[in-house]
Amino acid sequence: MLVGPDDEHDHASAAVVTAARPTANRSPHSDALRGGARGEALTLSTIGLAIVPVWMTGDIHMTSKVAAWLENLQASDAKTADLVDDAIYALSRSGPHSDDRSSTPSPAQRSRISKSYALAPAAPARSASCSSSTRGVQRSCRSPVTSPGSGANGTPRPSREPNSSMRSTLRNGLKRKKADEQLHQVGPRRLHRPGRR
Amino acid sequence: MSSYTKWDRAAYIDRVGGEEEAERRRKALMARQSGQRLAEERKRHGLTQAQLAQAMGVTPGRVSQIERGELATIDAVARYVQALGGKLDLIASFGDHTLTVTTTEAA
Repeated sequence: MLVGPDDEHDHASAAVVTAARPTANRSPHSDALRGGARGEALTLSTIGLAIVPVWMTGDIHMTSKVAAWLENLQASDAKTADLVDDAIYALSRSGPHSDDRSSTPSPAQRSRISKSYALAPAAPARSASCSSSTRGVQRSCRSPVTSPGSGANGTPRPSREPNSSMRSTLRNGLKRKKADEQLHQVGPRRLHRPGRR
Repeated sequence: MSSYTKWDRAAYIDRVGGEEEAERRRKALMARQSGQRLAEERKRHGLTQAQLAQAMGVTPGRVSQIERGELATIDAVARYVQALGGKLDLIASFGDHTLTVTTTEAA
């Protein structure tokens, strides 16, 4: 519809190659295809999709492997294939930023380690900062890892320390590992030198 | 490059029943995605749907609707965000530039 003739198709294909191979003067689109300023490892090209910018929208080009998979899916599970098509259509309309728009991490969250701690679940019933008398009241059930005001400009800042439930899990894991190691050590000794223990 | 195949947008639009329906589906998908992100944020704060509903002054069903993307009005989302201690700003896109529009608290 938007890119019809073969010569335009070739031009579009060239754009795919440009997007997949970084150049000195790269466009915002090629930046986004490689994961944007954050430099994330996963890119659209690694999952076999590329967006070719065409006036207010983008054509989606798939590797033959993805195209074949989608065709098979259409035959075997049309409902799921429709969902995939919906997502591809949304991607073509909104561009590579469609997945990014509603989540902008604060600078402190960019570290993978701190991010993993920040995403740790903290159940309110077990949270030290959420008593039963205050539960349900705004701001009273905050997880300690997202307490406000400690980051730049008063933004929430994730803690670099694991929360209490994580510490407990880590401790239990270490205990189990130690016990397992002792068990493995004790076993053979008992078999070969029964009198020594 | 011959290893790339263009996704057939026209065929998709025909299959779903026209451009309008395709747009409706796209908006529904985006709303569902936003709802899932709100749910993730709620869980990150350690709150259940019932607790958040209490803070918002609505039923848990309403919270569920927001998180499924079925209720995505500015007022509903603003109340959800405020109950989590956040503030809703709107981003107006004009193609070449965007404006961040500050909203007032929901009544």
